Amino acid sequence: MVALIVALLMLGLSPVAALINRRSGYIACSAGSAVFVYYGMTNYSNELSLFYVAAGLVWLFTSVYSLYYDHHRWLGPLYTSSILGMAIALTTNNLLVFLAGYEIMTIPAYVTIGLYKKTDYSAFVFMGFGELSTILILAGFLYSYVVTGSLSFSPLTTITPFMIAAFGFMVKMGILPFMVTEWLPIAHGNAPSNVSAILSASMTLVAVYGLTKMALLTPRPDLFGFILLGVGGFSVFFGAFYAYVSDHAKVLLGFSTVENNGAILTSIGVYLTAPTHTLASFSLITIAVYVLAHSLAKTGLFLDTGMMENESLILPRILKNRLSDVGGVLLASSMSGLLPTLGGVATWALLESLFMEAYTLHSALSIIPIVTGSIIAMGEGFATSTMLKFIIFAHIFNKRSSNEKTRPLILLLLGLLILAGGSATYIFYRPFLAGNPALGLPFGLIASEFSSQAFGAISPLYVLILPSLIGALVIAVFGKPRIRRSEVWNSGAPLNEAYTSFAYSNNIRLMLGKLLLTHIGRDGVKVVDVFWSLTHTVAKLFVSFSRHFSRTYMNSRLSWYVIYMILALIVFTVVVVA
Amino acid sequence: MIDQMVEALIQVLGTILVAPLYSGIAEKLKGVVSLRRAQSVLQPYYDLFKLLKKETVVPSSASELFVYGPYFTFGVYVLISFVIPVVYPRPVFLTPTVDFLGGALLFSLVSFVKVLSAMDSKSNYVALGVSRAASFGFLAEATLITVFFAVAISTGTNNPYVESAYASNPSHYLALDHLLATVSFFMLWLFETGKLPVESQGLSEMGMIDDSLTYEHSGKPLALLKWGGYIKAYLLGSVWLNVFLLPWGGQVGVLGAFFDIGLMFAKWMILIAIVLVAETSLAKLRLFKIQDHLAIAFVLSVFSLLFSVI
Amino acid sequence: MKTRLIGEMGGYLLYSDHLEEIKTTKNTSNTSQEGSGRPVGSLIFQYGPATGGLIESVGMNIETFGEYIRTISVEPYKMRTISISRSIEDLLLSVERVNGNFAASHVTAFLTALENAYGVTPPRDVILGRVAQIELERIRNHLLVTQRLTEHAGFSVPSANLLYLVEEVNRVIGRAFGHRYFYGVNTLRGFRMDWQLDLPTLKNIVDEFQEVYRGILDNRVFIDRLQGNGLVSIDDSIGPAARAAGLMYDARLDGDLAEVYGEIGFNISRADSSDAFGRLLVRGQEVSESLRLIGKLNIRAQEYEAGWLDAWEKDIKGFTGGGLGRVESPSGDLAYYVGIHKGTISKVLLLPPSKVNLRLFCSSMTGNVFTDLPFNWESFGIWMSEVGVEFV
Repeated sequence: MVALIVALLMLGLSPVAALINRRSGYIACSAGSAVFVYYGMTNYSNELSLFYVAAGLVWLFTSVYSLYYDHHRWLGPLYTSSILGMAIALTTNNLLVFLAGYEIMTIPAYVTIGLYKKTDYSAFVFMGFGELSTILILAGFLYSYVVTGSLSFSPLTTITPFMIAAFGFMVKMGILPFMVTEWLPIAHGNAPSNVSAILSASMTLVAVYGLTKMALLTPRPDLFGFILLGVGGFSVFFGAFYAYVSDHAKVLLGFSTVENNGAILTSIGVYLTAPTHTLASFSLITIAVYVLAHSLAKTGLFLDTGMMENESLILPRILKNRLSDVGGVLLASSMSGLLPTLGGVATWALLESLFMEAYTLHSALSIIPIVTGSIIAMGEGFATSTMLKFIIFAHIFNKRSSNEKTRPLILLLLGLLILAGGSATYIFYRPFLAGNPALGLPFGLIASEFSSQAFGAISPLYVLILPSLIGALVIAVFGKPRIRRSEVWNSGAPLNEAYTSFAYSNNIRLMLGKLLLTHIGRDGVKVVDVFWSLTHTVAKLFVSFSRHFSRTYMNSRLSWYVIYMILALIVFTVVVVA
Repeated sequence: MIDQMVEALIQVLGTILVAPLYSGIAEKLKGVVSLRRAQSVLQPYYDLFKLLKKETVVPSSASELFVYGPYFTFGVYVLISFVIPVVYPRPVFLTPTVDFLGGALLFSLVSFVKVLSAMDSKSNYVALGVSRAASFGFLAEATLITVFFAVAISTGTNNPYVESAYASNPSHYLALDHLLATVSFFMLWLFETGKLPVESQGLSEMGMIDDSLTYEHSGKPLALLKWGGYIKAYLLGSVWLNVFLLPWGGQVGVLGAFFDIGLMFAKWMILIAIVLVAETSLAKLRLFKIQDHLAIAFVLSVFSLLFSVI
Repeated sequence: MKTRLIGEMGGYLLYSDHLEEIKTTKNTSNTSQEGSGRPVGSLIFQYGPATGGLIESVGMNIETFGEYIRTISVEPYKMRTISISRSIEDLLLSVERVNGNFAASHVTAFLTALENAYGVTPPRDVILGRVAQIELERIRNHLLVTQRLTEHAGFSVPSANLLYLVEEVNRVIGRAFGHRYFYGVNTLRGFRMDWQLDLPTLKNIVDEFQEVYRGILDNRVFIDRLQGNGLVSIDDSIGPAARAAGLMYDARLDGDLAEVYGEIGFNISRADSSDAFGRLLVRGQEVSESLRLIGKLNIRAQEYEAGWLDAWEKDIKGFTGGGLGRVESPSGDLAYYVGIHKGTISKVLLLPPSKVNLRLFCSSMTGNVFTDLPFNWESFGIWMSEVGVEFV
């Protein structure tokens, strides 16, 4: 408990410190985040504690990175106060304080996007959907208060509050059909990379946290759980699909967040609909592991984009060097759901739990987890191709090098963390550990179970060690190659123009033209994001409304208005907490 | 434990050392059918031996990933040969490292590293092929996962050895879900190993998909990539034979393990005969039709899943 | 018959019945056109000069934004100049070697141009011999084109069969004429034929080809690769490409040998789709038609070198003039213009069919994808070796 107070104090001080001196603000924030991680690890009560670790690590890495990144006067205070909001939301047990934290988290983000705006609607869109999210969550919380008579998170007898709040959280998570709310502000608002990491990795984490926390308190719904499960599956597919055809580095990553949040939502769905208790607890752990995997990897990849001079993957000017190359590849492999990384374990667990559910249900209802699982499998295929695209065109296919050490080192650390993290999942899957001494694995197996019987098992540790060991053995047997350097072969002609990321994914634009409404014209290929067109229409209406509103009632600049809102909320929070 | 280790050794060596032979036999027969004198069945071994002795030409801007990626992918293939029933019908040493789905994820890991290693050459030709492979990846990876689950759902376990034993029961073998999964997996195998009607090994750069991944490599890394390719074809083909098409006949015990290598040879002759028909009577599909081929395989596997629970 | 434009040679436009000086410069570059400027994400993909997929050295610059071909330009890598300040006999050797596969067509067109310039007509036996050579060349070329198409489709059995048949045709030619590419066979005075043409073997070859050909036409997947691939705008096309579109374009109807072809009863082969498939259909029919024509020619092994030029050779010294010779090579109209100044050759212009086909190929590639490129390329029967040639 002391750790928590220290962490919150330090995080609370950091915006003030940042106002005075930017660096000291980030240092305070880093220290607070570190303590927050410590708190999450030492007070590991249930899977929700893992959210603390995940969030704390994201803040820690991003803050340290920001020491070498931030150039804007207002960015430090805004960034740190957003983190403070998240910390409040994550650690409180009070519904209103949660909401206050949620707002403190969101509003600085509006302002940052407003400050960095390239188009004037991005901040409005973000704000509009942010407020929609808040209103729905508020409605859910009020209903909860009506049912239980308590302002704290407490067990419910009806699922209605959860259902209402779930829609609010899903808007924030960018779940289908709200996918646009996730990437648009990041991309069009041109949010700086550290804020993008926070927006995409840990702000959606808070929403997942709220959703999971509510789910734990709610009686098991029948239909609604399956709806979440299915919607999550489609989000995985469409998130990965649109990510694959995106060539803006941050849009690609934003869509990838949609995909991951979809997977997490599916896991929540499995938790809610699991026919056996064992399967429910397995999927609960999976939610937390997925969150950890996604937060860390996504943070790393967003920080990676901070090292690009140009955010388009078509002409990336990333300052690459060996450290960030290795880090980037590791992070991308985790995002692709490959063993032995953290993301691989999470993907494995999610798919296993879906098919275990289909097996245990063994009825017509099994169709839902089967179809969802198949769609997710397709999404995972796209995700692998997407991550390959990112890493190839940001790192591999690029010859510009840099000697910078610090920021690449952060990336490498994150990469190594995510690689080792796969084997750290033993801690989380403690009830599901197994071994098979007769076959050379006395320990180190994670067994997926739906009852006392195991469905499948993997050993991330063995997968981490064995291929490299065998690879080393192969080197020992066949020896290292004798190397001679030469220019790359381009069928006898000099290589003038390199393959572009756009071209890399163009096959899908041509193949799935019906889904993307591909149009080939004089200026090249155009595709239409159906969900984006819909949302765009709504957003335009919203913008014209807001313009009218601000002209009539608020005859000053947007930033002042928002700063006023922050102050109001902080005052509000202080009153509520006190 | 010692027995299991010996059996594992036989299974793994039986995979690594015998895998190229099947490619040699298939090529030989293909040559005979097309009225050529054709190469020796040992040609793959000669090729590997030659490449292992040769020096390695590395593109000027390529890094260690280009050179050592193939060593790693070879290591993963060897690991997979511990895991799935490709020779011996019972779990062997280290088999529980991953289950069937884990095996599928390991295959994905190999293709991930292979692509990165190939792209490290910064060749446009590699990029051309990789972009194609990537765009079919969503269906191929999905089918690999669903087809492995198809049997898992009927047995209630994701252990391929249990599934093999389960399928050997005629009533399970002839069930609709098993048959659909069998067809689906075979279609996937054709894609994964670059066989007709999906891809043909030839000289034309314009049609490359899988071939592009070895386009820039030479010397030892190329030998390992090619060898890995033989092993991959053997692994997936043997899973198909042992779990889907012909789940019978495996003997246990150390002596049984030696017998199993012979048994696998017999089973493989059947697979080669089927492939021979495909390879000599089919033409290569138009690029975007490959998607249809995979979509059919995927849909079949999903139907197989559905039939197994309903 | 309607006058048709065949192509550009030197500063002239060649029509089926006359040669016309070009007044306005027209874009005849080997580039397909689509829009202007480069779209986002596009690149120039370089294919060639040294490829595994194409027989010859060809450089293709393909503008693409991934798989889709936006524009394509082709440059020959066998650029060469042939000096004309030599004796006619020496020049003839060079003309033969412009494109070995079409050697008979080249030599016939060249010699016909020369004969037209002088206003002489060779004996009928010599003309029939040339027709026989061209038709044999056509059979071999069409077999080879079909083989190339099947090879790109990974169609290994027909591919190996066809390669074998091509070799057999070569042997038949080689046995009869002493050289499988007709090198050194034709001279100014006539041609040499060592042995009787082995018609029964040739018939067997064609029969075997027809069997393979029917087999590949039964394969849906193979046909699918050709149908809709490489649609050409029909008016400016020649050879099999034009006939695939249903046009009556054939130098055997309106070229210099038209009279002979008319006498032996030549039937034009046509199809009704202007894509790679249509071109394959035309070639398939033409193989049989060529065999039929060769059978009717009834040429015998002997040295066709009569004294028909002796009297005329005495007047040659002061002659000034020019003549055009045009024949139907396996890939379409092939024309030579030979100008003579005071008894020596002063100008040689060449219109190779591949030059026109190359333009057609480029224009038909826009909107196509990479994997279909080899099929479209082979379907035109283009030989780059004759494109980059200039006589100076």
